[in-house]
Formats: sequence, structure tokens, C-alpha cells
Amino acid sequence: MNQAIENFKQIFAELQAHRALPALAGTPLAWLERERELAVEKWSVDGLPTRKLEAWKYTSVQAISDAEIVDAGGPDARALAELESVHESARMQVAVAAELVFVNGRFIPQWSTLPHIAGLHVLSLAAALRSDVPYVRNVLSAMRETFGSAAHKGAETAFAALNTSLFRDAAVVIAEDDCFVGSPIILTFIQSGTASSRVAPQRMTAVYPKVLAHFGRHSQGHVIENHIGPNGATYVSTSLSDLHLGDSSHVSYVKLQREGDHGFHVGTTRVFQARDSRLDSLQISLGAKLARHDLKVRLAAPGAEAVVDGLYIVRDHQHVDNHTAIEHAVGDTRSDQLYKGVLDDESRAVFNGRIWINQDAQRSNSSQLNNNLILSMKAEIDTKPELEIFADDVKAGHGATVGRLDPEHLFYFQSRAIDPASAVAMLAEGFAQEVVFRRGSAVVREALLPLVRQAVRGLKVSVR
Amino acid sequence: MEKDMAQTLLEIRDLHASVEGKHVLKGLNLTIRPGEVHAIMGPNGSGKSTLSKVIAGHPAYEVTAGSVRYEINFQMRDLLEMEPDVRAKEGIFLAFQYPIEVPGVSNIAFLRTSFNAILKHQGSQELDETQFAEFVNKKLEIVKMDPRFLDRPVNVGFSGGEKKRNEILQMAVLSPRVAFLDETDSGLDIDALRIVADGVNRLRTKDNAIVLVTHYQRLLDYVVPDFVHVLADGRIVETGDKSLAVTLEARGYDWLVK
Repeated sequence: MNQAIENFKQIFAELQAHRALPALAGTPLAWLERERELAVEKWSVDGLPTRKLEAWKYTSVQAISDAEIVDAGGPDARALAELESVHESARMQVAVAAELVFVNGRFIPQWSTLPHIAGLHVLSLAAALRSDVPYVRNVLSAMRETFGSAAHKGAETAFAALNTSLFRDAAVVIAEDDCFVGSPIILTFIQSGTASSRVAPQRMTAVYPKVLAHFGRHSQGHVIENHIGPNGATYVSTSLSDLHLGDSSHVSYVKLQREGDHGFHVGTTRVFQARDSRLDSLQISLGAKLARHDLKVRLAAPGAEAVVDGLYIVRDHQHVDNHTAIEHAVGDTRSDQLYKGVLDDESRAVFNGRIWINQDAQRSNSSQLNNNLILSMKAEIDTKPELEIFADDVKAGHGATVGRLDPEHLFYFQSRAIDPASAVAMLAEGFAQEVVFRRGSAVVREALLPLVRQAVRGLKVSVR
Repeated sequence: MEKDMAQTLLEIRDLHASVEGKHVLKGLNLTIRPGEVHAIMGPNGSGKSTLSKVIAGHPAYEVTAGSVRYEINFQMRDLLEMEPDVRAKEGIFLAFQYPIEVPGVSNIAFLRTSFNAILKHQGSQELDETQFAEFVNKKLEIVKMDPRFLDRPVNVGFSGGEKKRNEILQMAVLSPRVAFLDETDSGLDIDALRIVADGVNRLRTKDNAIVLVTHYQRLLDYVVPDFVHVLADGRIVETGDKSLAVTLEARGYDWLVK
């Protein structure tokens, strides 16, 4: 068994020994404690995935497996002061309904803004467990049915299981029935990491950001997950987000990944959609040395629809892997995916889009597109659709494109006084922003466009 | 002598150029002074488009001999040493025969970035979005363009005529000192031709120069040139005034090319 798993086992043993869940102390949620133990089996027996597994064929997490894993501690005042600049760059220029800030998975009340909207609860799990609001209590108990291990059997990744076993606190978002929230709810996860060294094995701190979100019947809201860490620091974030969309709810969900340049982010988002619910999802991956996102959406009742988009802009030796899995469990459900990527230097991207249409899921409608713009001869993209269709009356389309910047475009810009670097940035931004314009909310679009503009700065081109 | 130098804007001497290994320009000479309009005519394959591309700095075109010198601050400078965007910043403009479609970049953002790049190069204050919108709105009228075209992606879904008008709009915004208009009249119906020609006429000043690269005499009925040159097999073989264009229309090129 590898180094990392041994360290994770020690960390888990210490947790067990002390019942040392400082944030959750005194307020146990019995089923969640049971889930921790069940999840241990998943990662401690199988270990972290290797490239022998089909789902990890193009993404090696060997650097994590070989690392000496250290549990990230809760930040003291001095650590927070050191992270102030990261916190500043994490800020999004948008009016918020609420913002929770976590550092190394611990809730930081003084950096957070709680909501003042009737029917909206945005709070740490520790606080939620102390809540006497019946709606909150009911949701916490019901979450098990949707996201407990029984619901997922063996399907989750070892990293999601690590999160379940080792998380300390979580961001909880609960919108009661008919609750309408117009401004974004921001969940910021700041990782402090540890100074990276040049020699192997790498010492790596581990963090387990967690989100539990529930939107009641006819509710509406925007959630933006905001993951960030300092450049030069080594860490692994195993984020796990669970979203439950009630009947006729409409949720826009953005996961924004801007981890530091030595950070590893291996995250999972699981979505359960009830009747006539609508998900509008966008995964944006800009940072990290290696990022992997597993997004699983279960369209569980008729009328459920999901728009599942992604954007990655990578350079240097960055590696990003998006695995989506959309399950049309019943008929009259719809999914629409658009993942776009810009790759420069020696970066590498993977897209694997799995669509599962159940035998009885007639009249399902799904589409999937993955478009890539490659700026360097040394960048590489591996893109693969994976359609498993067991019903006969369905629409399922998929496609992928890999394009290079057209030298004629570049010359046209130059002939209009625009230097090549600005031209590449404008062309890449024009290519990338399509997914942002697909967001229904003007507030969300306005919050994201500056990030895209910033991300395309400094891209180079070597088309000739 | 110095005075003479100052009066030359662009001086092309014995220019040889090739593209994809094919020798196209074979010793071309041309002198352009402020306030002049030149027409360069010639049969297909004579090198008209190559000349425009070489002046603008297209990377696929290789200059194998000769020189192109351009007056900047009363000094004749080597144009061929400059990157294409630097040439544009210094006032060289090429209206494309086939304007490029640029999805995802709005016409107004493109124009503003372009205009601000020039302002910055000149050491002037750049314009913000509001200031530029005001500035560009005045220019729209020159080519009778609907303001809605500003918010559309550059040339995407534009008709042939709209694309050519957009090129002239860019010229109006950038106020170049030397503008090469490469087959700007091709693919235009008579109304669009009038609009484009009218726009070009309004952009003529005593300080700038315009070079019309064209196949037909039609455009020259509207934009009257000071000089008409016939380009054949990579060289200028005949130069005259506007009456030469009329002769060419009547007799074709054969009598010159032989």
C-alpha cells in the first residue's frame, strides 16, 4: 500500500481516537458517523486509483499516492493573516446573498456573510446540526437517502470517499420550498497548503471541502463554489459537493477552481434532480497543477433537465480532467452539455462524458459537445464520449472538436494594430466566453466574465 | 533634398517577393506622396494582392529583394523590418479582399482595441467604452452602417457588401496614412459600391494616401485616382492618369502584357 494511504489511515485513526471532530463535537449526526466508517473501506482497501483503471487512464495521481500526507490543521490568527492576500484574490465582484469562507475546511465566521432572506439557510454543518429549525433538521436527516453510500454503491471515487471519511465541517445551503434567491450564494474554500519542495517524496497537506445543498420545491438560487490556494504551496483538495434539487426547483451551480500552481484538486459533485427541476451547472477550471472533476447528475424524475457546461484554460504543465456522468433514470428528461477548453504550452486536458439512458427512460433527450482550442503543438487533449443507451425512443447527440488558432485571424488582428499576445487573448476569450453567456443569470455572467478575461492573459501561440 | 524626402510617404524599390515558393513580385517600383490616390490594375495573377499583403506584413509572403521605405517623423524608415501590428500603429492599413470572420469578438470591442492600440502607441490617453461608443457612432454614418453591427461578432454573418463596408469603417476609425484597398469593389452591387466609394472619398485628405487595388475600372468612376498603374507579371508596366483605366476597360490588358 502506498505512502498516502498509510497517512490517511493514521489521520482517520486519530479522528476516531479523539472523536476529534472539533467543529462537530457534541453534535453527532449518527448516520454521518456511520458513513465515515463505510467510506474508509473504499479507499483503504482499493487505494488511490491508478492508470490501469479506465476512468483514470489519462490522469495519473501517482504524485498524490507517493506523497507524505499531512492533515491540514485549522488556521490560527497568524495563518489567517498570511492568507489575507489569497482571501482578497478569492473575492468575486458581485453582491452576494451569503458567503461562507472555509480555510482548510474550517469555517471562518469573521470572513463570512450570513443570509438575511426568509427561507434561506446558509451555514456551517456544525451550526446546522445545532439548528432547531425543523426544515433544516429534516433536510439533514433526509440527505442520507440521496447521498449516503447505499445510494451510490461502489460508484464513487476513492477521493470522494476520503472526503466522507475525513471532512471536519461542511458548507450547508438549504432553500426552503418556494424560496427565491436572486443573488449568488458563494462558498469559498481557501487552502493554505505547505511549502513545496524540490525533492520527492513531496509533503502534501490534505483538505476535504464539503458542500451539502438542498433546494426545496419551487425554490430558486445560484451557488458559486470558489476554490483557491496560494501559488507555490503543495496540497491536495478532495472536495465533495452534494446537491439535491426538489420538485420544480431551479438551481444554477458554478464550481470555480483556482487552486495554486502546485495544488492538486480532485473533486466530485453529485446532483440529484427531482421532478421538473432544472440544473444549470458550470465547472470552471483555471488553476492547480492537476485538477480532476467528477460530476454526476441523476435525472431521477420526469421533467428534470440539466445544462452541464465546463470551461478549462490551462498552460505550462497543467493537467485538467473532466469526467461527467449524466444518468437519465426515467423518461422525459433532458441534458445538454458544452465543455470548452483552451490549452497552451505543454498542458493536457481530458474530457470523458458519460451518458446513461435507462431502459425505461423513453423520450430522453441528451446532447454533448466538447470543443477545444489548442495554442501549442505540445498541448494534448483526450476527449471521449461514452453513451450507454438502453431505451429506443431517445435523442442523443455528441461531438468533439479540436482546433488551432487560424494564422489568418492573427494576421487580421495584427493588421489592425493589435499585437499577437492581445490578439490571442481576445480570440481565446471569444472562444471561451460562450459557456458564460449560456448562464441565464446576468449577475452570474457579470461575475464570471472578468475571470475569463484574466485567465486568457499571457496565453501564447505557436501555430507556425 | 530634405524637402523631397518629406514629401514621399512610401517608396517601393525593386521589390521582389514570393509566396509558397512562387516568385510573384519581380522588381516593382512605386512612389506614393501625401494626398495621392493610386490605382493598381492588372490581370489575375499579376501580383496585385501580393503587393498589398507584403506592405501589410503577411507572414506567408517573403520579400527576396528590394526595399520598402516609409516616412515616419520626416525620416524614411525600413517598413519591412516592422511587425505587422507596428506597421498598423504607424499608419499602414490594408482593407482585406476577403475580410476575416471572428466569432466571439464583438465588432466594437475589436475596433476599440485596435484604436486604443494606436492611441497608446502615440502616447495618447486611451478611450473608455463610453467615449469610444460616442466616437465610433459618428464614423458609422460614413459607410451608412447600422449601429447594431457594432455588437455583432466581427464580420460573422455579414453579407459581402457589409464586410467591405466594415473594412472602410475600420479605416475611418483608424485614420491611416497609407491605405491599400484590396479589391474592395469586388462582390459589391451598385448601391454598395456607391456607399463604399463615397466613404473612401470622404476619407481622402491632403495628408494621407490611398492605393486602390482593383480588377475593374468601375470603382474608379467613383473614386477618381491621380495615377493608374498596370501591374503585369510582378512589375508595373504602364503608368498614366485616369484615362488609362478607360483604355484598359476598352482594350483589356493584352496589348500591355505582351
